[in-house]
Amino acid sequence: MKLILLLLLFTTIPCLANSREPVDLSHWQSASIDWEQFQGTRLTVLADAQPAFAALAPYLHVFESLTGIKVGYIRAEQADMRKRREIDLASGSGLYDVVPIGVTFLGRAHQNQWLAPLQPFLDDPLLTDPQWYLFDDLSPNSLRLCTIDQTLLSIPFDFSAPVLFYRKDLFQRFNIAVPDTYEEVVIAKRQLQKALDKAGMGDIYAFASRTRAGAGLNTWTVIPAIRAYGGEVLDQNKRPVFNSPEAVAALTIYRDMVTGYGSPPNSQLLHFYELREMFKTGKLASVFLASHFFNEIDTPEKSPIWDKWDAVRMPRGPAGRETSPWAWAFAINAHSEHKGAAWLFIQWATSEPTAKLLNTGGSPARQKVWQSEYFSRLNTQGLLDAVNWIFESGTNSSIQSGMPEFPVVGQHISVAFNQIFFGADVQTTLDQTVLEVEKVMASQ
Amino acid sequence: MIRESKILARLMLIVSGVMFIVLSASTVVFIKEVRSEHIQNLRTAADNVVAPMLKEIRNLAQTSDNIDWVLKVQSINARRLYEDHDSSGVIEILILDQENRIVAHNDISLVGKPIREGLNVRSIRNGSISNEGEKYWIGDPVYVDSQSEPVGIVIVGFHDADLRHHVITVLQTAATLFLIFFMLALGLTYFFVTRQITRPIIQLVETSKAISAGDYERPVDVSSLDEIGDLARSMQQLQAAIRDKVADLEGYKAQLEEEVKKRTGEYLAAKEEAEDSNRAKSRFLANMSHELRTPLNAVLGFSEILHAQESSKEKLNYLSSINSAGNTLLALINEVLDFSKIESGKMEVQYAPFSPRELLNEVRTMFEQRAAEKDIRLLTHCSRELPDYLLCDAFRLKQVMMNLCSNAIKFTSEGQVTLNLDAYDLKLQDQRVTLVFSVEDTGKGIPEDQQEAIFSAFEQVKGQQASEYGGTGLGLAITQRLVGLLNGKIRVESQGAGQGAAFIVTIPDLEITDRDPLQDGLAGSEDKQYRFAPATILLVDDIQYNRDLVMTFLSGQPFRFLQANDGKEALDILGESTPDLILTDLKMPTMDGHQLLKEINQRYPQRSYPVMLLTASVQDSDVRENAGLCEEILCKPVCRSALMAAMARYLRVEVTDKPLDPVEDGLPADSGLILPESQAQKLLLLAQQGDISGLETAVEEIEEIHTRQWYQEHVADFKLDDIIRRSGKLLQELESGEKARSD
Repeated sequence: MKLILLLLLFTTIPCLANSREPVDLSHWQSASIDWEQFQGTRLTVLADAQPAFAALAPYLHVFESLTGIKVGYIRAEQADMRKRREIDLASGSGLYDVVPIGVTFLGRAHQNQWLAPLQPFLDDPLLTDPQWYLFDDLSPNSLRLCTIDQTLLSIPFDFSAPVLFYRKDLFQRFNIAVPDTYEEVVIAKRQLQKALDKAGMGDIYAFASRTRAGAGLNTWTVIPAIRAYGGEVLDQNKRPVFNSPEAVAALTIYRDMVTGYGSPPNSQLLHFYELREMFKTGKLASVFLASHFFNEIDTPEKSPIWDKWDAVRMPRGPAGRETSPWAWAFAINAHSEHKGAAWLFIQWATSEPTAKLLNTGGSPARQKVWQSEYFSRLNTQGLLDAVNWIFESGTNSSIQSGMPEFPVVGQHISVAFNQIFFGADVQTTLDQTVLEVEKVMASQ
Repeated sequence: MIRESKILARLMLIVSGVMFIVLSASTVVFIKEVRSEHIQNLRTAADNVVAPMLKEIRNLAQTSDNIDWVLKVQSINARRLYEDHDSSGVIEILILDQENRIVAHNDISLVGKPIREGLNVRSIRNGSISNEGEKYWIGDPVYVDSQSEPVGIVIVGFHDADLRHHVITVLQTAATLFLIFFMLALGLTYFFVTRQITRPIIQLVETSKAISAGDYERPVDVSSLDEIGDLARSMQQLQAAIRDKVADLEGYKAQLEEEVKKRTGEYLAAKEEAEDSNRAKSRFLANMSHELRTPLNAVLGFSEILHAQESSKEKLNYLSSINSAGNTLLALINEVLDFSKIESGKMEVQYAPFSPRELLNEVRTMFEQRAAEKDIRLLTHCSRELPDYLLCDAFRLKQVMMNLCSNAIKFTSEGQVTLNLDAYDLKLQDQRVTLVFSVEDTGKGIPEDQQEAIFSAFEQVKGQQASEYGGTGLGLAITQRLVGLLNGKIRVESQGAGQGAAFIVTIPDLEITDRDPLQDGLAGSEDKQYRFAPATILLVDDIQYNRDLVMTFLSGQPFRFLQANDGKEALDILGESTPDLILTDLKMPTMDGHQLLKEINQRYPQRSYPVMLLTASVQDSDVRENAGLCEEILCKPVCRSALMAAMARYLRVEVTDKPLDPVEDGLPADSGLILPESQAQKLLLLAQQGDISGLETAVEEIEEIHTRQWYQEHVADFKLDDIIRRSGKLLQELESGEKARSD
C-alpha cells in the first residue's frame, strides 16, 4: 500500500508541483461547489516567510485557474508580517483579505473583532462541500489553536510543535543515549560536547534552544518545561504563578540546558531562525525546534545532514511531557470586501489536495495527509512518533491558547527568562516578574 | 549725509560695510552648504526608508500584472515604515500615481484624497525637495523594472528642526563674529586713520586756512613719504606760488583801482551829461510847449473874438484859416507831447464813470462838419447791449476815437465813415463788459503788408503823399499806445487798396457803473449860459494880450478887473484890496505864479477868494506842485466856455440852458445868436462854401425841425449876412471849447 502511495506521490505530485505547467484541477473540481463564482475578483493574501507559505506560492496559479480569482500574495518576515497584519486589521482598511495568524494573536484579533468567523462559510453549501473538504480531518489540537470562545476564526494551514531534533549519527557514534528528560538533556549535552571536542569536532555544539526574549520566542520552549515540572504561568483565575517551586526548578534546568559547556557562543540570545540555520548546517548536535522544521532538512539540496537527523518528543519532566503546539492558519479580515473569495482561497489552501502539493514544504494539520504522504516518505520514525504525539497530546498552556493578554505578558516573562539565562537569580527574577505581570493583568 | 561726514567716519563705514558683506556672503554660502548637506542626508534617509517598499513593489510587480493593486497595498507597508521611522522624523509616506492621485498612504484614510496644499509635487518629481517650514518632502520614483517608465512616486515627508536650529546657530555665530571683527576693525581703522591720515590732513587744513588768512610763511610738515606727504609738499609749493602771486596781485590791484577810479569818474561824468541832456530835452519840450501855447492862446482866443465881431466874408475866411492853422498846430504840439509822455512812461490813465453813448455823440458831433466838407456820410451805431455807464478814462478813449475818426475822414474821399460802439461778454454777475469800438470807412484802404507798420511812430502808408494828408505820423502810434494803456487791443482790417479799412478797438473787462454825479454837474455845460454877479477879478500875467484875451472873454459879465504883470505886483495889489477871484499865469518874470501862490497862502491863510492858475505848461510836475496851492488849474489855450464853467464853481452865478436874450439878459448888442451846435456847424459850412440857397434851405430846416417856435419869432427879422456871421461865431466858440477840453 505504501508503495502504491509512494508511486502515486512521485507520479502525480511532481506534475502538480510544476508551477507553470497545466494542472489537473479535477482534485478540486470534484467538490460540489462553484469555484468560479467569484471569478474576476482580486484577493490580497498576506503570508509569513515560513517555509509552508513559501511552498504555497508556486501553486497559486492553480487556485487562479480553478477560480478565476487573481491572488496578490505578499510574504513578509514574521516580525514584519505581524506589524502589517496589525496595521491593516486595526485600521479597518481591509487591504489584506486573508491574513496568516497564530494562536498568540488570535485572542486579541477576536477581542477586537478583526476577523470574520468562519463557521458560516463552512456551513454554506454554496461555498463549502463538507464531503469533499473533510473538515474533521483537521487535527483537533490544531483547531483548538484556531478557536476562541467556540468561535472558529482560522483554518490551520501548517501545524507543528517543539520537539527535540538531534543528530542521530553523532549520538550513535559517541554512544550517547537520546535524552528523554530535561536532566538527561543537560547530561547528554556535556557528554556529547566532550566527545565532540575530543573527536576534533569542536565546531559542533551539543545542544541549544530558544533563549532570545520575545513573547513568541523563548516562551515556546520554556513554558513546556515549566508545565513538565508541574508549574504553570497562570492559574485558572489568570493569576501569575510562574514563580512556583516547580517553575523555579524548570527554569533552573532550562538555564543549565542552554548555557555552559556544550552550548554555542551567545547561547543566551538565540532566535529560532539561528537555531534552524545552525542545525541545518551541521553546527548543532541537538536542538528544540518546531516539528515542521523537517521540511528544511529533508533533501540533500536543503541540508548536508538531510539523512543524519531524527527527532523525538520533548523531554519529560516530573509532571509529564509537554510541548507548545503552533498552527499557522489563514483567517479572513473582517473588513475584507471579498470574504467569499477569501474563504474559497482558505478552503483551497487547507484542502487535502493542496496539502499534498506542499508535502515537501509544509506540515499540514490534516492527519490523513500525514498518514498517506509523510509517514511513508520520511525515514525518520522518531519524528513521525513525535508528530503523532503532537496530534494526540499536544496542548498549550492557557496563556498560549489565544489569551488576549499573551503578547504583553509573554513579553514580560520572556525577558525574565532571558535575565535568568544571563545569570540572574531564578527565584528573585520570577518573583519580581510575577508582580509585574499581576499589574499587567490588572490593567488589561 | 555720507558726503558731509568725515573721512574717518566714511572709512569706518566702508570697513563696516565690507565686513558685513563678506560675512553675510560667507554666511549665506555656508548656510546653503549646510542646507545642501542636510537635504542630501534627508534624501539618503528617504532612500533608506522607502528601499524595502520599492523592493517589494518590484517583487509584487513580477507576479502581478496589476500595478494599481501593487501600489495600493503599499499603504500597510507605508504605515509600517512610518512607525518604524517615526523617531527619525518621518511624518508621512505616500505613493502618488502618474496622475498625482494618492494610491497609498501611511494614513490609509487619505488614500484617494487630493494631495495636501503646499506639497510641490512637480518639484519633487523633478528631483527637488518640497519644503514648508521645518517639513521636507523627498520623492523616489517607483520603477517596476529598469526598462519601463516610473509608475508612480514614493514621497517621504520629514519633520526636521535640525536644519533650522543649525541655521540659527550659524547665524548667531556669524553675528557674534561680525560684532567681534567689527569692533576690532573699527578700532584698528580708527587708530590707523587717525595717526596716518586724519591728523596730517587736519594739519594741512590748518595750513590751508592760514594761507587763506594771508599767512604765507606758516611751516608745512613734509616729513611723511606717503601720499599725505606728497600732498603736503604740493601744498608747500602751492604756498610759495600763492605768495608770489599775491605779491603780483597787489601790484595789479593798485593799477586796477587806479583804472577803476578813472573809469568811474568818466562814467559819472557821462551819466551826468546824459541826465543833463535828458533834463534839457524835457525842459526844452516843456518850454517849447509853453512858448508855443502862450502865443497860440492869444492867436486862437483873439481869432475867436475877431471871428465873432467880423462881418466881412473875406476876413472871416482869413480868421477861419488862422483858427484852423492854430488848432492844427495845437494838435501837433499835443501829439508830440502825448507821444513823449507815453514813451517816457509818464502817461497815466484816470478811471471815472462815463456814458459811452454820450461819448460817441460827442465824437460824431465833432466830425460831422469835416465829413460834410468832404461830402461823405458820417454814420454812428450804438448797440443796445451797451451799458449806460462804464468805468474808464473817457478822455483817453475819446482821444482814441477822435484819432481814428479823424484818420477815417482824412483818408476817405467818398462814401461813408461809420462809428460803431458795441459791448460783448457781458458779465452781469461781475458787472463787467468788453467794449468794442470800430471805425469803418470806404476810403483808400491799407495794403496788407503795411497793416502792422502804420502803428509804428512816424510811419505812414507807403506811397502816401505827406503833403496830401499831412500829419506827424504819430496818430496811430499814439492811438495804439493809448489803447494799450486802457488794457485794450487795436487791429486793422482792410482788403487792400481802395477797399476801405476798419479799425477795431477792444477794451475788455470794463466795470459797469452808475452815473457820475460830478459828470452830471458838468454835462452839457457848453450849452449853458452864465449870468455872474458883479465881482472884482485880479488878472496876473506878464503878457498883456493874455490879460486882454481873458478880459475880452469875460466882457459880457459885470466884472471889474485888476491887472498885474507878475507876482510881486499882484501881492502889492492884494495889500491894498481884496478881489473876488484871482486868475494868474504860472511863468512870469520877477515872481512866477508858483511863488505867488505860496506867498498868498502864506500871507492870507484865511483868504475868502479863490485862485485859479492859467498855464501853458504841460508838465505834470507843475500841476502837482501847484494843485494844493490853488482852487483850479486851467491849461492854455483856454476857451471861453471852459473858463466860465470853472469860474461858475466859485463865483455867484445864475446858470440857464436857455440862450441869453441880449435885451433881457443885458448882454452886449453883438453877443450873437446862440444855435445848437450841429445846426451852427452846418450853417457855417454852407456859408464857407458860399452856398446861399443851401443856407436858406438849412435855415428853413432849422426853423422846421428844431427851433420852430423861436425862429418864427426871430429869424425873419435877421439879415442873411447877420445870420452867417452869428452862426460862424458860435461855431468858433464850440470848436475852441472842444480843443480846450481835449487838451
